[in-house]
Amino acid sequence: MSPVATEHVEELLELCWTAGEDGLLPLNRDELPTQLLCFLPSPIEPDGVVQPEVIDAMVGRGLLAQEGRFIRLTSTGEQQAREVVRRHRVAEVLFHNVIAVSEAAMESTACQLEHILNPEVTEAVCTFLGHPPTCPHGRAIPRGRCCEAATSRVGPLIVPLAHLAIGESGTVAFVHTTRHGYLQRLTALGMAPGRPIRLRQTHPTMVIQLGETELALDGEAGSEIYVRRGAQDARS
Amino acid sequence: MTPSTACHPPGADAVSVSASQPTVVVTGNPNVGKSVIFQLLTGRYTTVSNYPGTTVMVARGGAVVEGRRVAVCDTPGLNSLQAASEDELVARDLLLGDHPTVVQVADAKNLARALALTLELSEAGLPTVLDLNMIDEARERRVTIDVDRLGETLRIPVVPTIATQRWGLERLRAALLKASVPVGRVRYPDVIEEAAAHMERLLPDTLTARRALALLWLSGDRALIDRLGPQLAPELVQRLQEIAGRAQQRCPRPLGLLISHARLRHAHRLAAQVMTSAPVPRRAWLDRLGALAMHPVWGVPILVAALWVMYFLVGDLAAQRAVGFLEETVFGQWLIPAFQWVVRASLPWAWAQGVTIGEYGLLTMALPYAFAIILPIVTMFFLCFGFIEDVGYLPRLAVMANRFCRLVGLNGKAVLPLVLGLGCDTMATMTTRILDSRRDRIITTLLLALGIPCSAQLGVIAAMLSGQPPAALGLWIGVVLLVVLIVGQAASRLLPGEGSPFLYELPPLRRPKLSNVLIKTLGRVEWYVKEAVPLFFLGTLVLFVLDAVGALFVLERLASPLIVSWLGLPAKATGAFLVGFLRRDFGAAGLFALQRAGQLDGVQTVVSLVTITLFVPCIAQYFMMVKERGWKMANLMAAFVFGTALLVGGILWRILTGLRVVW
Repeated sequence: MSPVATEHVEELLELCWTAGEDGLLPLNRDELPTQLLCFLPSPIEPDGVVQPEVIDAMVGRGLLAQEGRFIRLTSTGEQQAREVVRRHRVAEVLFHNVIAVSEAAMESTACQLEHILNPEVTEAVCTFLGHPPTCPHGRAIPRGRCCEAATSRVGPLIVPLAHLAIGESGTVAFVHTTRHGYLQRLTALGMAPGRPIRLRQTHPTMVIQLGETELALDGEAGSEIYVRRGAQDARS
Repeated sequence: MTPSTACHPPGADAVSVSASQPTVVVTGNPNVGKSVIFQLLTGRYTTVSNYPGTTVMVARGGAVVEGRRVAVCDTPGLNSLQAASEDELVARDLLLGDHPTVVQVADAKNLARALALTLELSEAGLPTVLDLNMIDEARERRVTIDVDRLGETLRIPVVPTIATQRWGLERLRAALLKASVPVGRVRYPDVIEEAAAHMERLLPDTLTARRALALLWLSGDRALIDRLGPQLAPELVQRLQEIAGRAQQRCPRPLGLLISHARLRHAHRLAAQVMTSAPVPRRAWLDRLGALAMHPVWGVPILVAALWVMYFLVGDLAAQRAVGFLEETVFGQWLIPAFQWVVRASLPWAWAQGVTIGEYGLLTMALPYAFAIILPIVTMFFLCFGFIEDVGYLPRLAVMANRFCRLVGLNGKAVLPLVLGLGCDTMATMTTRILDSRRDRIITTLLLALGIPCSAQLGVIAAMLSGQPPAALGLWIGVVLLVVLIVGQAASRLLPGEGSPFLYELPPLRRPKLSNVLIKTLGRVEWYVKEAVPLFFLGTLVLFVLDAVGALFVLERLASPLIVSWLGLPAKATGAFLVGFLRRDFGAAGLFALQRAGQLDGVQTVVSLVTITLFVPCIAQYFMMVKERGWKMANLMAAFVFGTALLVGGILWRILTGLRVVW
């Protein structure tokens, strides 16, 4: 085994995949589109040059094919890249939708997570998020086995409140909003992850049943409150 | 609606320890029955209704517990010590400031939410008794609570009650002596625990609620930091800010949210340990009616039916039949001839006869105005209104009217003060405290002063319009609504900030309690008599004096360009508008008398009614505006409203005469 770190290999795989999406393949190994890379931890030297031994090692392992100075993913490399990219983007959705951290924090954390998530956890997170089709930047998330299994079933598991049918129940998954005062007041009224919720009506004003509390909300809240679908009765 | 004195003098130190007599504060989530409990403990009536936000100020009373006198305060509802609105802030400051004994009233069927507040009281170190109220409603919903176990877990007295039936009250009273600080420490994320512990150590020992204060500070509670800050050394404030800032930096999510979530989780765990619930076989008919009342389709006929019934009762039964009987028969045929006979026989002086039974006589004008015209109308209105409040229809009306409120830059919650304004604009101005932003409060206060006629005025207006073609009624409503819309729109555009989002808790519809409706109506009528009647006498006296010295004639001449040329009304209407400065309903009553005397035609009736509806707020409302919004803004609003009323009235007259409308 070569001494090259797995993170670096995975970063380059991701770079090649992303470049492929943008139609940039094959890549000149001396002029890699490093702006597509995420920055932590990175195989790029401070001067913007990718360590040549990383590329050499990957060629040696059959992940990359090299013709002259041009490199492209082999089919093995593509398979691995697909998994890395999937982990990265699923993590991004997780941070963006559920935890609502800043973009910089989301990126750096997703970059670290993509190297440690195992397939089982990735599938669980993907299912939790309702098999999101795209990352927050709008790039497609490669489908996993869980996604294919889910397409035969109904819709995503976690949806905005407004997507529920009238009378449908579920539990609160998370609230994603920039209106902090509103969120605080919602929380004071008992809105917290795990609480049973039911959509009572949407017109003329949205009304929900939250446990034993009946609340009237403004329309925007319908796209800010995310609900895990399920047939639980709202009056727990 | 009985005015009450505050427990806590305004402006007093909010977060220091006071050594006054033992105080019991009744607190709890909104709409759980705090005011009923307060009433039962003290024997003092405060307004009780079925919607969150009935109590907006602190009411004070006394109770005797085992031979000891204690002061008892009723407070606005509180979801969390992290107060979100002005009325919540009042309650919060009282709890953190006076270190009282707390009776926490809880909605038994919504135990977890109540326990979240109990946990906060524990953090504030407040001795507490937990009152599981409405235990009957919980039973109906198949919720059972192991009361003893809950008491053992929290180590405080827990007493189930049904306040409206006085059930369990004696036990609650006895439990007051055994109140103790609830046990139940919430485990917060480490970042918060460390920071809070650090801050607690730094806060001076004189503050009793250190853990609660530290947590509120970490939550970034601006109001608290502003109150507490000036009492602490500047270096200490800086230290606390640093600790809070560092903790927040270590966390991607707002600390306040993490704190609330942790507390809610703990509360739900506690509730789950002591509570069992079985599925409810089917929804009660009241629940179904409650859902229908805000249904996009069925809600409309229900609203129309409610309005029709109210119009029938107030506009027809009270304003026509009752007023007709009282004014024409009781006063016109019996009382006034009797007064005239007695006065002529006992007071030989002309001026004395003038002041009592003359054209502007206290017995011939003020008395019939107040008791024959206005009193039956307000009584019936308050009765209907009390009924609607008790049923719990108002919050559903807010749901129906949210859209409309959006048009004037408000949200559905503003329906409450606006509809309350139809009862009494003065009280409604105070109720603006339940609104979520200063901007909402300003717009609502302005609209109340401008376009919301109070019940007394409304009744007179309904009576005056009943003799006119239906188009007149439509025109009056249309013009007033249009002015409200335009002014509301303009105000919402001019004022900085955005409309605050709508969030309102809907209580279940409940069977109204007749005794409460009656007591509430009586209380409001009593308040009306106390507040309005003296002003009626004062206004009449002013008119008499002005008339006697010939000034009324001069004023009529002076105002004639305005009243006669601009508004197209007879010069005699000047008197009505003059007393309208004291009370708009008094002015309306003057117009009513003019119309009855055949001095106003249909067009003049509508013009005068539109003008008096929009006319200046009454004296009481004006002072309430000063109290809530300050001198400057109150004066600005009053001047604006005055100008708008005359402007709209004059334009309306010109349009109607221009179109040659004859009614």
